[in-house]
Amino acid sequence: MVSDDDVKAMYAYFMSAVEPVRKKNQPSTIPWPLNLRWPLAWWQMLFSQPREFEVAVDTDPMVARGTYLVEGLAHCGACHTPRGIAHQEKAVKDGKSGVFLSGSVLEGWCAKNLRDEGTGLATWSRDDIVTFLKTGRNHRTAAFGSMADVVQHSTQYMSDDDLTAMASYLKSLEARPGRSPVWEPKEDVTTAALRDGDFTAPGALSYVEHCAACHRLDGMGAPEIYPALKGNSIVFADDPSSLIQVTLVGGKMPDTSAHRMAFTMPGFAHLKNDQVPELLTFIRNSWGNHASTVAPADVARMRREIAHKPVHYAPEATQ
Amino acid sequence: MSRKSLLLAGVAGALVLSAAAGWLAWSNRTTPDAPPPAAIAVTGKDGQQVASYVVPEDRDILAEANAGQIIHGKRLLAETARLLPDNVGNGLNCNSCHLADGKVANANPYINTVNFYPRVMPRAAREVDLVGRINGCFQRSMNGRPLASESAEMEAMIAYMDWLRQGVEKENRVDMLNPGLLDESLVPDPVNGERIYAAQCAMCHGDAGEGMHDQFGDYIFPPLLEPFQPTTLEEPIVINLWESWCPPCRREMPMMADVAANTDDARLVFVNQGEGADIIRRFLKTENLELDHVVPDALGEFGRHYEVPGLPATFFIGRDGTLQSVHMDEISREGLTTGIRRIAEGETARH
Repeated sequence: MVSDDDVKAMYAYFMSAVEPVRKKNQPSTIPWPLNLRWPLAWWQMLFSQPREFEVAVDTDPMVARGTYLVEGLAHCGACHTPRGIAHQEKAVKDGKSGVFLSGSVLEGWCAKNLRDEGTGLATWSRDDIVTFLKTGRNHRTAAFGSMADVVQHSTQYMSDDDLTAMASYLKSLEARPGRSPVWEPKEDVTTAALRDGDFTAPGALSYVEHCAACHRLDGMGAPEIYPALKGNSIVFADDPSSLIQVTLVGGKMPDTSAHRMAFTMPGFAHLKNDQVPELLTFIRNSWGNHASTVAPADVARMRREIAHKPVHYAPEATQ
Repeated sequence: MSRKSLLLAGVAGALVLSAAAGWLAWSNRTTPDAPPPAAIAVTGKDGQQVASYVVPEDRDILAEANAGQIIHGKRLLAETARLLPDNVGNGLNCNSCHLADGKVANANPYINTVNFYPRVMPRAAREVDLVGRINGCFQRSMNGRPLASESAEMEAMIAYMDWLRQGVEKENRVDMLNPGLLDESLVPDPVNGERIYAAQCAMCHGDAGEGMHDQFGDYIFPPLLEPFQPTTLEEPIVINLWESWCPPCRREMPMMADVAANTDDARLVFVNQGEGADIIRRFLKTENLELDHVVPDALGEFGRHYEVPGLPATFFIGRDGTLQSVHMDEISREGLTTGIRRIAEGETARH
């Protein structure tokens, strides 16, 4: 998939520019029988055959470059493409089904739908995507959870041309069959109600108490400081997992050279299972947003997931 | 029955039993929820715990008979600048300092506020009630004007604070930490301060301290430096600089107190130079003086600012906020009333 030239260039870089360190090999933390290597060969034969990168000959060169990066070295699909019964990515490139990059949930984070459809990236311009990958935030949202690591350790260092190419490719991914290619907000009646002191909508009083100091009564936050909730596609995503988890555990924006400060959000795990769903349903359906409701069972399930989260190998922590 | 079928029946029975046990365990597992809220000790006069306090959720307000008033008060405290533009002069809200609706420790909670006042306060050197304390914030912290004590707004703010007290009795106190006094031995370091400001503050408050607005023009982050705007005072002001040991100050004080109590044309403010609150209080008590506006200026900054050669000194400031005239040394009743009449009528005295 990755071109020979790029593989050679990376090999040369690793062998000449990366300083060696003295470090003992670490024992595997993967439990038996998953730590056996030979079944992987079978898995690989079934789901991950070597392949050449190819795009249609008439593809715009920038989109072709973006396709190459997204399918290959950026491997966006590892998180953003749904996985099958054997944990294989259901698609490794775009096709008729539209399953590629249509969103998936891992460790309680919803890696959002990246296709150019209503609850995907329809509300994001190409520049919004580039700014997000370069700086970890844009005027409407900010990276949190696992995506914060991706921006901080990887995409912020990419060239503007490559980021623009990736964004162009993502914006070329058509809506899945039966899905709207656009997202139409409802009329915003929330801003006026909250500014007039009408807190009668279920969850409104909790919102004003716990969220409004930063995200504001108009749901707009502060640009590149506090993410907006109005028109933020993580807020009205089909799967509310990320919204639930970031509410319970909080989040931290990636540190990038573009900004002087990275802001954090505190966790609200101290709010009860009957209060969080009401609050999140309010946020998902206010300021013109529209999305499914969140149930107490969803919040309880997320608490269980958070309590049993695996601890990942973190090189900086052990060196 | 053959031995084989007995065995099969046994295995089937065991399977059914274990499935039932598994189902029972699954359905009876505890649903994870938030831990119970922390209980904070309520202590009596002797410091012994007499009860415990839990910070209430705002949704509990709805169960109160005066829910509308409490919520109105909550809004006024949170959005003071927007909702009371005539009373706030600098874009701040009450909750700019009293964080999280006055519900958290170390950020000036309102929880003990209703029980704490009225109390003799060092700055005013007299007893201040809650209305007076809130208006002190409006006038100093928010650089604005006081609210009428009977106003719906003042009563609503107090209703919110009273709800937050959750019935803790007057003589008791919720044992919550509050920030201590500032360390005044710190030496200002503008170079390091500029570096820290750029890294830690400027992103929100702006490179020039101009603050940040939302789409409606209300402050998201308040300004830290505002261009000087001459403010229109509510009434002309007479400032008297004094010390308790200075004989002419002591001589003119009873006359000034009498004028202060009997004029509506100006507010008389008595700024003590360099003495502590205790000395001021004792002096006013032994001299039997009733003064509404006494300001302790422990570092004598007023005197330095106006470069007064000695005490007492009396300044006459007009409604437009500018200094109209100065009288050095002891002032006569006639001099004082003439000065007041001039600033009240807007004349500039030739001096």
